[in-house]
Amino acid sequence: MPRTVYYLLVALCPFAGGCGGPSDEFTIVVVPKGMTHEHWQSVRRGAERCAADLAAEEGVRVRVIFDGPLRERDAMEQIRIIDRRVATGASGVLLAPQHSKTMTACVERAAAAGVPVVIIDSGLADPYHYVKYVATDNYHGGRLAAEHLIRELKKQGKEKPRLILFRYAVGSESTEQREKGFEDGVKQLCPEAEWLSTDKYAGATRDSAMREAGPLVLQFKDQVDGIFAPNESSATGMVDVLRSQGLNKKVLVMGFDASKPLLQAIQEGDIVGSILQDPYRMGYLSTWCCVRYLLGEDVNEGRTQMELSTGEVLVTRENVTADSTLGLFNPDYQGRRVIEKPRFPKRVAGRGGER
Amino acid sequence: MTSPRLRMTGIRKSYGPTAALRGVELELLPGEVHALVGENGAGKSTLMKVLSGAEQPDAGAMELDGTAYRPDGPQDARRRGVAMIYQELAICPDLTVEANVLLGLESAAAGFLRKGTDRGRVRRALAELGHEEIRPEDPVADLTPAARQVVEIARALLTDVTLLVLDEPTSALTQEDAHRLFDLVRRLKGQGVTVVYISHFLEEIEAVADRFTVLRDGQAVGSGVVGQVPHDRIIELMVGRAVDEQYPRTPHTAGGPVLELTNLAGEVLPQNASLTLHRGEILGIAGIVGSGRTELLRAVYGLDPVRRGSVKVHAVVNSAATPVERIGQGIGLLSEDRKEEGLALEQSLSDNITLSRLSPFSTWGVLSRGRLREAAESLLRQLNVRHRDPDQMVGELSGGNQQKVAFARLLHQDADVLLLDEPTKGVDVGSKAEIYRLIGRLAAGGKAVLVVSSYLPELLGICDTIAVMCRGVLTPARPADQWTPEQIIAAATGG
Amino acid sequence: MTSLSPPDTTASPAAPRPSSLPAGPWVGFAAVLALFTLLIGIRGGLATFLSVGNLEVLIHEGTIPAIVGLGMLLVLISGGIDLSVGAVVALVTVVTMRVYTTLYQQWGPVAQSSLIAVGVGVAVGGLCGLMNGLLVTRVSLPPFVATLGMFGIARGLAVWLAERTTLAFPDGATPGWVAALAKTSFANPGLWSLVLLALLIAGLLHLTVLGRHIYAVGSNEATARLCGVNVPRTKVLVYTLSGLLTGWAGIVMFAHSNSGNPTLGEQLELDVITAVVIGGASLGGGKGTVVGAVLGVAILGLIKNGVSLFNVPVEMQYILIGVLLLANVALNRWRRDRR
Repeated sequence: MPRTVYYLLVALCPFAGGCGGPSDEFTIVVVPKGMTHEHWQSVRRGAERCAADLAAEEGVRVRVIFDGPLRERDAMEQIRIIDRRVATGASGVLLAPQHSKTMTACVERAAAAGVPVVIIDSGLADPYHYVKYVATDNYHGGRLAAEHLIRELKKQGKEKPRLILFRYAVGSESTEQREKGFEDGVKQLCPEAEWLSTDKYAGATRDSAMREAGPLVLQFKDQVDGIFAPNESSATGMVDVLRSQGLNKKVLVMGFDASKPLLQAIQEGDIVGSILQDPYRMGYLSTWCCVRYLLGEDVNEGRTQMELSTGEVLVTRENVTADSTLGLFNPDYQGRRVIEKPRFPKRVAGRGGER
Repeated sequence: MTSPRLRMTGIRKSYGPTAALRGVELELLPGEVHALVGENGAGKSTLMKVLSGAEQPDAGAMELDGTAYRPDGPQDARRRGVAMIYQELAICPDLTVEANVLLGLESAAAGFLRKGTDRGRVRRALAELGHEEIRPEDPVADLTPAARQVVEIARALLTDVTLLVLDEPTSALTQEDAHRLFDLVRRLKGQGVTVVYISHFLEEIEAVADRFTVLRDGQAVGSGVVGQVPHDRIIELMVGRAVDEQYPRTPHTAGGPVLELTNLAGEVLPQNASLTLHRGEILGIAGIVGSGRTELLRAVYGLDPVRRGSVKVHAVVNSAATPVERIGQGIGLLSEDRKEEGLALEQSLSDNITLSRLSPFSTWGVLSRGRLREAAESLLRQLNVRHRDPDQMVGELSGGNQQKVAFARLLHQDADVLLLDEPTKGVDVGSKAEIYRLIGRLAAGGKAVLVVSSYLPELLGICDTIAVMCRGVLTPARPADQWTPEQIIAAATGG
Repeated sequence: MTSLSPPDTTASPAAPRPSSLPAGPWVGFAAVLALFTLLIGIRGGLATFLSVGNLEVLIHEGTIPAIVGLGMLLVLISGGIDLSVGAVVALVTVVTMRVYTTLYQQWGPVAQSSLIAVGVGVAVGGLCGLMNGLLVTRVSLPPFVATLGMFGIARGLAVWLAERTTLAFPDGATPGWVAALAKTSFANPGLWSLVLLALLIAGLLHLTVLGRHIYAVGSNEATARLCGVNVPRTKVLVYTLSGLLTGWAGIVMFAHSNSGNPTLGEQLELDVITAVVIGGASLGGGKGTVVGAVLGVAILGLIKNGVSLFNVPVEMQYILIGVLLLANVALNRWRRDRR
């Protein structure tokens, strides 16, 4: 009989990874929109790196738990995770809300339970119950895209370029910001540019983007000089169509975000550039803000500075293989980065406190 | 002459093109036990379904105690005092005794059960039947078949029953239970209840019934007082012709041994069985239900495990074999449980017949439906099975014809050794004779036949040799003419 | 009579049964609790696992499947199955939000508008159930097929009514009861509605004629019909009740998710059927109790909770549930055969 018990214990050992027990000072739960996307893995690595830095530099022990819905569209599960973690002793929560409005209630409940929430990646409609919003400035990213595209077109001597804005989808907050930034940037830098099309939507996948891009390119192939596609799937879908029509490199395409095929297209010159987000920094800074808040610091200057941008990086053929670019998504290069940390003052009683 | 309890006039009922009832006239008197006899398919069940409200007649009228009676469902019939006990027990196995007895008759206040009142009613009904030992709160699943039947009868007693229909009530009962049932029927009769008693056993009818009516082809062809009409005459009425011989014999002689069992024992039953079966021999195994006869056949056929002893087929000892191997050795089994095991009732006649040997009809695994049908049709003709066409579902046939289909499969399989378990169970008199003739023909053709039967006259009538099983132990076989019925019963009960 | 029968082997009084094993669901519950207590105890998270807060979470998350489970229990006992519940829950959230938003914008008062919307939502659930019942009885469709059809229709309607998006509350017009229902707490009215409904369903099953007939229909439909039970009416009632319960679960989901969302409740039907079967109900009908169904939901909730909170690999959740389901049904079969 004792032997049976022994085997049982041996069998259980794989599950009993950290036998240390929760003696950490803070438990930070990172709740992404989904688990599988590479983007979220970078966020997780950033958060864990921040925890390691905090322990090394200040001796603040932070445990990072990465817990999100298995499926990106499982709206109920994200709410469940927040409630579950708040009830079982999380110190703080980093949340990438799946929906800007429906997620407000659980954030409010977390705040009521005294658990600070840092919103990451996408906005939340209710600004009163979280402590910081750490995300890419998509509008700014759109402007960067406009600057680069206009610059490249002018290099080719096209002073009055004819442009296509290949939109992503109706009601998608982040890409709409990018599109707006791009439009505003073009208007400011090159008011004489001509818009051939601004009302076509790529849809959610590379396939749908190809279906939409096909007729568009066919219609304007003799006129178009430059195209902006505001995310990964719309950009790659557009490039696929241009390649099939033999228009690649003749028409300049500006993209947003990265993927293997997209980076390869930049290297081959089929895409003139893309704006990359910095999810590693997003994970790092949001964890940092959350812990600073827990340590009694005023991370939002009395609720006047709610937003913190994680930066947007222009990637072109010149820097696509540079260490700084690789540091945006490659785990090895991420580990070598040094992230500059913002400093905050102590919270003053009656000021900067929540509620 | 008292006025009748029930009068049926010109009852007709058709299912599609087949007319089940063709103008039945029937009169039942108060306080009589009236036997309804007839071959399977004669229309007895349909007639009783009409009586108990489960089916609506196409034409005709019924009168109950002088007033028009036309129930629109079983519930309505029960309210009028007409209840029926079905041959296939109508029981909800997951419910308690109480819930089963009360089903459809629960007393309630605003939809809520009045459990106290109801339990009393159930107890009284069970006591009235002399079965106080059945506890109302026990699940029916735990009861024996006999006790389940008591539950059903108790259900009938819960209403003020004036007319009770019992359809083959003893088929699942032991002899003792059957006798208790007869007592009960007599008691009900004494209380003025009219009982309709459906049975294949003329002996039972003689024991319990006052009058009888014979049904044939959907019509009442004769009735009379029990005891005043000889058996032969009743059988003649049932089959519509004189049955020349009840147990026809075809001359046959025994040849060499084909199946030898030596001290065979199974998991529980049988415990020790030895016999030698020869070509052209019909060997009967007598014994009481549960003595291990069915288990013996199943062990030989490879359906149940063999624990000790040996099975020798065609001089090859191969004690533990699977049914597939046994079929390969030329052994065929006719199951006792035709409905559950013997036949696939929802499959066609041709599929059922050819299932055990499809190879003659397949080329590279592809079946030829045409040849398969032809073969089936020829067997069906040969066995005189009443059917429409070979693609018809087996379930549509009467019991006797179903059994012939099961035989047809054995013939198609071309088995040398036939293990027949209760070959005439649920089979009408006319078909029985045909089956006996068939068994005789098979023996004459050199087949070896092992027959298990609970019906002693049958074994004595058709077998060459008989062995008796008692508590799992088989006596040596003796020629049939050296046994008397009394000796067999004594051997079977260990007396 | 010359036929041979044994002297007397039957109809003896049913002997007092040996003290029966603890019922399957209890065994399962104890096993899962023990397993996780051990696993989590080794890692040192026991205080969290067995905390009041976590108990609140467990109960909170179990409310919806338990309410749906009560309806599924009725359906399974009657010998049917309902695959449409997940889709109906989603449809109810969407309809409720649509009705509420329209009333609020056209009319005004938050409380009245939301209560009317709740009424409509529950009624939609009941209507789906009624349709299921009529398809099963009037059209004689097998329940599997009828409710599979309803599953598709309800999911499609939900997506269409929501115009393929998630519907949120109009700004600043979230009714107060929504927050109350969504709060993880013992005082949650959703939880108390579950307690009340469980008692009602238990009473229905064991104290009323309808309950008796539901068991009878599931146990042996032919017998029930012969005994004068109105089988079609019983079935229609069962599916309608299940629909109404699902409708109420949809309202709770509406509050929990703070939205009308056509993608909610995916695979809820499978979770609930699994839970109720683990709780001792049989797909063959005639069996099942409220206590078992609630325990089944609790077991599933416990597994998900333990797996989620203590970083046991997620795939363990599915494996455990599968093993438990098979073990439970096998155990029931074994106990039955032993009798």
